[in-house]
This record gives sequence, structure tokens and C-alpha cells, in this order.
Amino acid sequence: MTNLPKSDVGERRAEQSAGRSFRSVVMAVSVFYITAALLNGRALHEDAKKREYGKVRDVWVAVTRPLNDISVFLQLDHFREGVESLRKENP
Amino acid sequence: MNFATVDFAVFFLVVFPLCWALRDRTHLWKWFMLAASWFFYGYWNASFVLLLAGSSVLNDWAAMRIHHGKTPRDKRLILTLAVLLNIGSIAFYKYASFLLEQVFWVSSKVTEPNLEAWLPAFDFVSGIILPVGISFFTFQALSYVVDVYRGRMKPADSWLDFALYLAFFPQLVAGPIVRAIDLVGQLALPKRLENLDIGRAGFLILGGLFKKVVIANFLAERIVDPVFARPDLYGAVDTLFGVYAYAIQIYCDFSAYSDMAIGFCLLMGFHIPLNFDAPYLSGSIQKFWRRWHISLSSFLRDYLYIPLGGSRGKGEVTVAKNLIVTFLLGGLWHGAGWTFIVWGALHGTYLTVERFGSTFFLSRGVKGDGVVLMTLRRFMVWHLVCLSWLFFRCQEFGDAKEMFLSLGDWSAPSQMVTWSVLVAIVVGYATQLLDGSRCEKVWDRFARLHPALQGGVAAVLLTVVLGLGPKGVAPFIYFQF
Repeated sequence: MTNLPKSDVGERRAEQSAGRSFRSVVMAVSVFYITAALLNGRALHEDAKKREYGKVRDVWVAVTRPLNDISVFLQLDHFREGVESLRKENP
Repeated sequence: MNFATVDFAVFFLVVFPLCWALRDRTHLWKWFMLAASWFFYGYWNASFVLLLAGSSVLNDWAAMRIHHGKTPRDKRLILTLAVLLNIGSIAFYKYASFLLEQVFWVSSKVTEPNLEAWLPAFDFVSGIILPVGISFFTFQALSYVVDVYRGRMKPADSWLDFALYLAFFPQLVAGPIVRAIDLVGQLALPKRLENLDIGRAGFLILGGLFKKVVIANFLAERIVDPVFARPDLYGAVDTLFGVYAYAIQIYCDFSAYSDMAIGFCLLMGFHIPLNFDAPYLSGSIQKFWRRWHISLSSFLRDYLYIPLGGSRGKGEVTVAKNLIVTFLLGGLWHGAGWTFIVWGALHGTYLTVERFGSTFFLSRGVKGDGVVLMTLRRFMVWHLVCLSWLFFRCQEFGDAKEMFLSLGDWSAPSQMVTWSVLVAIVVGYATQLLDGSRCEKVWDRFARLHPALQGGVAAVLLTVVLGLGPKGVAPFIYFQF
């Protein structure tokens, strides 16, 4: 079975793309998840608390609580607050 | 599972590294990806995983029987059976209620209806739950069986390959409709990190989130939902901009899902074809359909329009009939309702009239590709498409009638058209410029950044997108189809 897609943007770019080490991909993804979790820690915790009562909610609340605490401690939550206030000020 | 939720973020956090860690152990990798895809689908309703699994068993069996069939008659028989079962499953889940209503309506015109006799049937169909994405994965299965029958491809090496193709989670619930010929072959190839197009993937995912969370959800909340819910409360300006906003909302919503699906596929080493390519910039309805939901329009072309006879021979009336039948069925594919059928009929009619019109003008040497004429053509295409969206969005003809009545009331002051709504419409329209490979230089620039910086920039952009969007995550519009 060697049916390959017809020529498209993806195929052309796949042929052109430069080599990428596994380490660099892991680094990019890890930094993304950690930074996103810290910048959005407070919002994640608030969303978790709005879930339906039950075990799933308990897990989400427990997992997001430390994220919320670190985010608030480092004042990283202010960034998202600032963006949200932009939206609220321009209805 | 919705791409724009934290649940999906956690799911992908687990799937992404394991997908790459297992890439050299192909058999295990396939089982892992199939399990992940079934989990993704079953997260909404676990019982429908059986439907998906059943569909993969049936269609894999049919393709094998067709491939090994001894006579053309045997092959045709199996193909017919597979088509009937696939269409039958969509008909049962999606159209049973609609069909029963039509039969009831007709019979009530002929005889006095005995409501008690009809009640059990209505009770039964009202309990049918529409499985998410059934139209998408059933069309994918059909494309596979038909392509094997036509000899365009060999059957997948194993049931596992086919089941993974059918259930592959990025494009499972709302497309694009990726054909087996485009994806099954990739499953058999070893995945290489050298092919990981992180620049394009990041751009598509973040751009898709922006379109969905900031533009589509905002327009839905601020103007589209209120105007379509109670058009009698609004005048012409609000109604007109409500329809414009819906045209932008549906583009930003659906193309966002497609973009994110392509992006997640890229992150796992797969590339699937484009589904949108700046459709509202088209200067003709024909071009619009080459740029809007490309995977569906090409599916309808290859598996319905061309088998019906297409645009070759037998005269213009036959061509017009083929176009209208194709689009009527295309409308019905979207949902069980007369407003969807009208939407399809409108597009079939547009294409027919355009075909005759272009023949007429071309024979007189009028090309219409100057700046002014092209602008006029785009303006006309936009409004014709908006007219069809009006029917598409309305649940009943009565709602569409209310919308038209409101469009005639120019004396009422505008309540919904604020600066932020206008900006969202303009920005949503401009997001078409992100389609295709128009932003290739930006992808490449992003891909050249240090990996830590890539992750940091993406996280900051994600936070901006989430902060700018309304609270809560509305499901994607095309989940219902």
C-alpha cells in the first residue's frame, strides 16, 4: 500500500522541511504547556469549579489548584486579566 | 471532544509524545492511535464507539470482498450492499424523524390521521440520538469502498489500518472528509520528525482557535443568535448584518475546525488536504465551491455529479439536472430539513444560471475579470451565498419568512450593530487571507525560532485568544452534521 496524497501544500512542505531533533520538539511542546498552564492557571481553576459535581470535577479542581496558586503567586494571572479587561472595556 | 477545551489539551498532551515514542513500533503505534481515537469519540457518548467499530468492520469486509470478487456482478452486488448499509445508517440516525414527519403529513392530507396509531412511531424516532460526525465518517467509508471498486486503490493492508483511517481523531467528527487514498498510505509509512512542520501546525492551530473563540463565538453571542431567534424584534439593518455575521461565523467556525484538524495531523506527522481557500473572495459560485468545504464538494463531484453524467454530453438540461440533484443531496447531507434542501437548491440553481450566463457572455467576448467587474462579481457572490445561509441557519420556513419581513423594515433603529460587531465581521472576513499557503513566510519564520521561544510565543498567543473570546466553549457548528 503506497497510496500517497496528491501534491498539496503539506506534501510540498514535508519534502522541504529541515531536520528537527526529538529534543527540540519536546522542548517546544513542554514550554508551551507549562507557560500556557501558568498564564491561565486562575481561569483553569475557575472553569474546573464550574463543572458538574462529581469525581471528575474533584480531579480537575485538585489538579488546577496548584496551577492557580503558582499563577497568582507569580502574578502571571494578570496577563490574562488584562486581555479580558480589554474585551470588557469594548463591548 | 472539542479542540477548544482543556479536556482536549490534556488528551493531546498524552497522545502527542506517545505517538512519537511508539513511531518505530508500527503495529503498537496503530493500536495506540486507534484506542486514542476511539477514546476521543467515546468521550461524548461511549456507546457510539460500537457504531464506528461496526462501520469499520463492515466496510473493510466489503472492500476485501470487492477486491477479491471473481466476477463484476459479485463486486457490484457487494458495493450495492455496502452503499445501502452506509446510507441506511445515516438515514436511520439522521433522517428517520424527518421522513416520518413527511409521511405523516402526506397521509394526513389523504385521510383523517389516527394520532394514537402514529404516536409509538413518533416516540421511537424522538429517542434516536444523532451520533456526532456520522455524515463525515460514513462518507469516508463510502469513498474507500467505491475507490476499491473502481480500482483506484487497493484495500488497506489490514482491518487495523482501515479502522484507524476511519477513526483518526483529528478529522473524525467534523472533517475534512479525508479520502482513504490520501490517508491510508500514510499510515503504513514510518513517521519521521524531519517531516514535522511545526511552523505551519502552530499557525493553523492558533489561527483556528482565534477564528473559533474570538470571532465565531463573539458574533454568535452578540448578533447572530439574537437576530435569528427573534427577527421580529429587529429592523433591516440588524437583520442584514445578522446574516452577514452568520456568513462570517460559519466560515470562522468550520474553517477553524478544519485548520486545527490539519494542524494536529501535522504534529503527528500526517498531512491532509486543505478544506478552505478564501471562499468569500471568489468571483463566481463555481469558484466558491472550489474553495468552500473542498473535501465535500470534491466528494460530491467525484461520487455523485460525475457518475450522474457530470457536465459532458447529453445537453445543457441534463447538466442542469445533474447540478441541481447533486446540490439538493448536498443540502440534505447537512441536515434533515426543508431549509437545508432549499439551501442546496439555491446553490444548484446559482451554478446552473452561472453556467448558462458565462457561456452567453464569453461568446460575446465579455470576460469580466477587470478590477471593477471582479469587485462586482465578488459582491454578488457574497450576497447570493448570504441569501442561502439565511435558509441554512433558519429551522423553519416561518423563521426565514420573518427574516425577510424584517429585511423590509428600514425604519427600525439598529440595536445590535456595534463597533465591535463591525470589527469582528471585517476581521473575520480578513482571516480568509490566512488560508492556503498565503502566510508561508510567517510559518517559516516561526519554525526558525528557538524551540523554547516557539513554545512561549504559542502559549502567550493562546492566552490572548482565550482572553479575548466570550466565556465558555460553544460546540463547532458542523458537529451537528
